[in-house]
Amino acid sequence: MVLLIMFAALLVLLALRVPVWIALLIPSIVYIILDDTATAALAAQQTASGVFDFALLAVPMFILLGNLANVSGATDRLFDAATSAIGHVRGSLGYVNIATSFGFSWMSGAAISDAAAMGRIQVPAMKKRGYPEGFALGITGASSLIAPMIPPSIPAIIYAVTAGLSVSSLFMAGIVPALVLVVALCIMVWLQTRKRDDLRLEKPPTAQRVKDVAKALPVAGAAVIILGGILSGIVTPTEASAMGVAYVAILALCYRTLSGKSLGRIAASTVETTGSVLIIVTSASLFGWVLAREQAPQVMTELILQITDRPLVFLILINILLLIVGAVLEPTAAILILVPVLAPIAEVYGIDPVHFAVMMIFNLMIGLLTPPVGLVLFVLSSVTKVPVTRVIKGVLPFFVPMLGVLLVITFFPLLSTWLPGLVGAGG
Amino acid sequence: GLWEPVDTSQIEKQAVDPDARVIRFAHQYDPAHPVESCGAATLRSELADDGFTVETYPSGQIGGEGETTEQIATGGLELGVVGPSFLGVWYPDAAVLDAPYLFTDVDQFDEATNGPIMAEVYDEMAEETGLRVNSTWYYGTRHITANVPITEPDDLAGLKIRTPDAPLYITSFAIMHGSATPMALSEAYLGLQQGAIDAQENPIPTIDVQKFYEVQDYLNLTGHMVQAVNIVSSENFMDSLTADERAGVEDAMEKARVATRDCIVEAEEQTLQEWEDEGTITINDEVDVDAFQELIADEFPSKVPWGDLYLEIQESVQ
Amino acid sequence: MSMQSPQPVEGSHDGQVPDLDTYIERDHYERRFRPYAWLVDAERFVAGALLIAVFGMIIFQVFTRYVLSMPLPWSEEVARLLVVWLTFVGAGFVASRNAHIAVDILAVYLPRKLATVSQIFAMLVVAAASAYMVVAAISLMVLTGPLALTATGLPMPLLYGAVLVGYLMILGHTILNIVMYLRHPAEVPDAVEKAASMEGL
Ligand code: NA
Ligand code: NA
Repeated sequence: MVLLIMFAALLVLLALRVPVWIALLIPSIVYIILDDTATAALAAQQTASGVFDFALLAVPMFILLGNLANVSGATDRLFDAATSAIGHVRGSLGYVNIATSFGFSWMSGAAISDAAAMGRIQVPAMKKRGYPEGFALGITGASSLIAPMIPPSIPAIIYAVTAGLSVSSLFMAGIVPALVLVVALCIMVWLQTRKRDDLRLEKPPTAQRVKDVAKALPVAGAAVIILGGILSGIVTPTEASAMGVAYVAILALCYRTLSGKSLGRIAASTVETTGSVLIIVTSASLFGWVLAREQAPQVMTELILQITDRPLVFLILINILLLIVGAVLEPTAAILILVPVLAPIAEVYGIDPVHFAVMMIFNLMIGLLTPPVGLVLFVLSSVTKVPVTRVIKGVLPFFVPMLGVLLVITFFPLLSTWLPGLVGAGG
Repeated sequence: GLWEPVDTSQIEKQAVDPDARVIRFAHQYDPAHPVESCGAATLRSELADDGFTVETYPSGQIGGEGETTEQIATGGLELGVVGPSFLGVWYPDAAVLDAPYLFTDVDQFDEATNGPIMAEVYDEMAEETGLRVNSTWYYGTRHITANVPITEPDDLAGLKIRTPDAPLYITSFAIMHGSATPMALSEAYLGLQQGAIDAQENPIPTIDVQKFYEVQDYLNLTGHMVQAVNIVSSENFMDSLTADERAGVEDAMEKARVATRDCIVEAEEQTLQEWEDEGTITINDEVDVDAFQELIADEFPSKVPWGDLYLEIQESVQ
Repeated sequence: MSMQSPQPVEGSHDGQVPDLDTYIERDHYERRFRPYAWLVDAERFVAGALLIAVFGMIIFQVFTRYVLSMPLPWSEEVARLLVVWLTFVGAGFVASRNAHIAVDILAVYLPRKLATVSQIFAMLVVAAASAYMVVAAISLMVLTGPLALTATGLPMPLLYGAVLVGYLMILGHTILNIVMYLRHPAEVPDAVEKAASMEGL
């Protein structure tokens, strides 16, 4: 009963446009006031301890890294290299869009930063070359989901912290599913542009192409540091995040793209984003504490076991639930609230925790493109000045490959568990 | 496969007595750990007769050890399992049970943790902080795994040993000629496999669950810590019980303490035997424990605020 | 840059960063009252300094751990402490922009007057919750007054003080935003627009 009221209050407050973090705080505070044994001090304790965690240090660092990468011009170099290398192919800017997102994803931990950076450059470029606006918006939105699947990934950090999994192993686990998404999106581009022979660029001289690709190579250094550092076990993901920041900062200094002014702007923007995200972590931590105190995991396990005892049916049910949740809730909050409840149930069904994590993260990422609360939709609309309704229309066809990939991730656990197992990060 | 139905027989539905008084019991260990499967289970069955329902919160569901202690102090939680170092935050002397080579075996541990010296420490703590230690349970004996045999202190030289993030470990290993590298337990496997750290130390059941034997060649029976966890409640909670209820709780605690110790000792012995039989990991039982102990005896007591207490307890069990 | 590259779109591009001033966007009270503007700047500055301190602390830890092979137990705890402060001070600063992540399910369909009421209701709820959290933080700081953090030995209230300071900032800014919304409705930035302009996420 308490649980039902908690969730109902959360939804009502969200609908009334109360900020997500406060919508999580209010029902928890009311619970504490009404409970005989709980005191106000516990509210402060749970919020603070929610962010007093070493793995979460990586969150501001990776946000900073994404910002630095944008300002340093790394994004542009990736775009130039991809355009130069495959521009002459039919539908090339679609593939370039995917390739640039893939390259950027090694420095960016969230879909929104990818959508913001790519939307600005690529949507206008594609429109100018005759690509339909909807297609340009759709591919930019869909390919922004590569960023949180490839390490670094902010949702993966938050999931790992919440579920007590290794950040390194979750980072590894997303790589193969991300490649599946890349392939699915490439097929989509091929299907949509196969009759448009006009959608290709002139092939530049080989010397030019070599030069453009070479110019983007130093950018790959960040990926080497982050992935290599973590994969080799030499540094923790948190340490790798700071080293990645140092590397890209040095790169920006070499490119002479970093001024005092731009540094100030990067810092202010990073602080804003960090504050907005981590404050949600604090109150979701309190909300989760109330759920745990009311034994939500146990109650939910019993409930779901009454519905089915087959893991596959359970996974399908969870996917449907998450698609609905993802449509109305911001993914960080969704992970923080649902993981403590769902992960123990998944364990009862014998599902690999890493597999379940990847499935859940990708599912909630799709929610970033789902109205009414799709942050990527708003970001794309804001940076391209296209109304949200037209962005939604453009993204709609891309739900086919995205949901297809979700099914593949759900039914083939090995895609998620193979790489972490290979480097020994599994279990 | 994903289509096979799961076995749900393990998940017993608890019959809830609506009139029973609820005791919430929180700890950091997973539901299969002896603290839950032996300790909490005993508490639950023993206290059911006294009109209590014990609801457990495993896996740090409602907070880490520090937060658990604060929740007990504010009355938000009735019982919690808290390690000595975390109790030491509230009352420094309580941390003494996390000291290295305080005991060499479980018998010494039992004698001292149930003896008059610790009883006095706990009484003083209750008076000063309102936190009451109801019982001290055996958690396990910590040993070092590495890729080389560690027989004497100099074998530790130059090795990076993963430890929990607590200053006592760093002090202890520095004295024992090693160098402690604090790291989250969840990152330790990868660190060992990839060579970022060379060794780690844990009780045998933890080594087993974390599969450290896959990435380490030697289990060195250093036994450097015979470790305790404290079952903590508040004085306020204990005072709220009638004399009969209090006696019931104390009796259940004692039974749970014995049950947990027996389960853990059995698990330790069984796993060690299995490893020996199957050659899972080379067991080095020729550790010169005396040499390590001597180093600790010489330097450790002067480096901690409760050095005298340490020596007093050690003497009482010799 | 190759021939096919599109012209840079204004905004973020190879070093072509807009002026910091255009980014800051002073609101009504910041323009009217200089000391208030300084206060907001100070919040931004402190949060930025905390961010750089977190970075510095992790790099320092990498250095002591891998270069000197001499890990210091306090470096990690200090870094965690800094992130707690960064979170709450950062959130306080975001509150000054009325830019916390909110959800638009109904609000967009509401008539203007009802939308205003809902907006004010939301801000009142924020203020009430913040006031509660201020009290909660003080009571926790009193409770943990004599305690120290395990690795550094720093007083525990230093950790929970972040909650107090953060929610005091949020409370103050939210009350100001309510007053501004009632007296100068056009001046209040739209939360969704702000969330969309956030970078790095
Ligand atoms: Na893209
Ligand atoms: Na990424």
